[in-house]
Amino acid sequence: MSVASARTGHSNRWVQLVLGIICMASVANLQYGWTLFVLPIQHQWGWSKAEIQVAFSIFILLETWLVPFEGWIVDRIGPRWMVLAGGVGTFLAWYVNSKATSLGMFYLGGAIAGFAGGAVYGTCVGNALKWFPDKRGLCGGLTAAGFGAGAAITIAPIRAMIQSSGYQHTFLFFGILYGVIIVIVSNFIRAPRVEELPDVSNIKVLQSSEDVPPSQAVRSPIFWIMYLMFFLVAAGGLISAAQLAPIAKERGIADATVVIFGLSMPAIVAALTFHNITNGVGRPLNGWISDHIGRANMMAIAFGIEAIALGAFGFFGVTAMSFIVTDGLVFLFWGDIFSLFAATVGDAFGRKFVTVNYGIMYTAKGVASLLVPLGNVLTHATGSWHAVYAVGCGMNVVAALLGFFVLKPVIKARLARPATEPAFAEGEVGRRHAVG
Amino acid sequence: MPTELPVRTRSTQASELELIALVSLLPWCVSLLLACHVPAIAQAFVLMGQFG
Repeated sequence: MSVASARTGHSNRWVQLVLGIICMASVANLQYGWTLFVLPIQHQWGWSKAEIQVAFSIFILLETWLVPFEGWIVDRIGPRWMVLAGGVGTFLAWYVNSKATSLGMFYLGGAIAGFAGGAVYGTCVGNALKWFPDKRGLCGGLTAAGFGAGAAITIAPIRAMIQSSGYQHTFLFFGILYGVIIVIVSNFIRAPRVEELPDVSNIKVLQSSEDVPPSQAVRSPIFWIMYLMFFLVAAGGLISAAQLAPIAKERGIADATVVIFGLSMPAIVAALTFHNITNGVGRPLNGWISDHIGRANMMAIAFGIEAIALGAFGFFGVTAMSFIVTDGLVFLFWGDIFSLFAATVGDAFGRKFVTVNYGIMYTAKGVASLLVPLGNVLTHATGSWHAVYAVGCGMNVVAALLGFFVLKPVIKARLARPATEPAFAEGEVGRRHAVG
Repeated sequence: MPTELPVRTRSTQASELELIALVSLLPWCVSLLLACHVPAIAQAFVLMGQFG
């Protein structure tokens, strides 16, 4: 690679990262903004909240489980057309919601939104992993965090417009706005060429020299070790998060007021705000650390701290401040599953099929959701929250131990093995030996 | 002597699509069915949407 092309590639890839984050921010409110519309829809039509929320369940189901399928297409045709389709889908979903006069139409809107959200999410994370083999943790994390940040900066204007102009006008306005932004950006988003990749010497973590297709990746033990870890951490955090509001109520924190930086606010609002921030910050921060100390090492540390934070929240989060701080810590080390596993999949299975390979890994999030009702069962069976947090803590301890004692040696053994077989595709990134 | 055929084959697009269907569409259908019949599962997906 010439110096000139390397320079072009290196400056260009940050533009690609920003474009991906813009797209992520533009689809974020399909997910995080929905809650603002539920009550206005209920007031307008008189349906129950549960009936309306079916649309959101449909969205999450499709958003999660279509990612492998969308990733498979992206790895073949590139990111542009999938992001374009995601942009059109985003507009259509909000448009359908703005015109909906029946639950069925909202469910259709949820289905379209699920396709669009998954298309943009999977594509942009995958593209960041392709452009930044030397900074996969940081850039995968920044892209995933863009999803939350995009929602955070537009929640206030959406809420204001719903109050001033009604939810239907708001759906239409933001549908057009987000759709146009994504469609325009899709014209500039692309996967890297081989000569645009960074120099091998810049990479500090072990990486595969092979591009492993999904059919081979899912036959590999390392894939299922990671899948199990993803599942354990996602489920452990979620079953605990499900108990957040009832615990706050029982401990008398829901009605308490705290003063932070001179601002007085309800403790539960402070907790929700703080954990939304830590949930976002943890993704690039822990991903960035993993770029330097190795993925398995960081997973062991992060999930170990997550276990301690869950235990501390469950057993000691009895005052407003301890509740807010321990809850924030739980999410600081929970959100990083979306950067650490994405980066590790890229390292272990190569660049070419990373969108589909990580898409399959990402479905562990959906499987983890199926375990959430276990928290209610445990609480009812034992009559205490403690069992829920003990289980959540235990799941993270298991994930941390798996990371250090199983994943780390397996990564080293797999990636340090001499290449006796031909690569499945062009192995343009050399084998690297460094921290696991 | 007959030449032994190679036993290792590269994945084809067809086999990969079958795999994608297996890991993508099948669990989606199962989850949808579960969410329709068990309200706690439907709520769990809503919760995941708030954090994930």
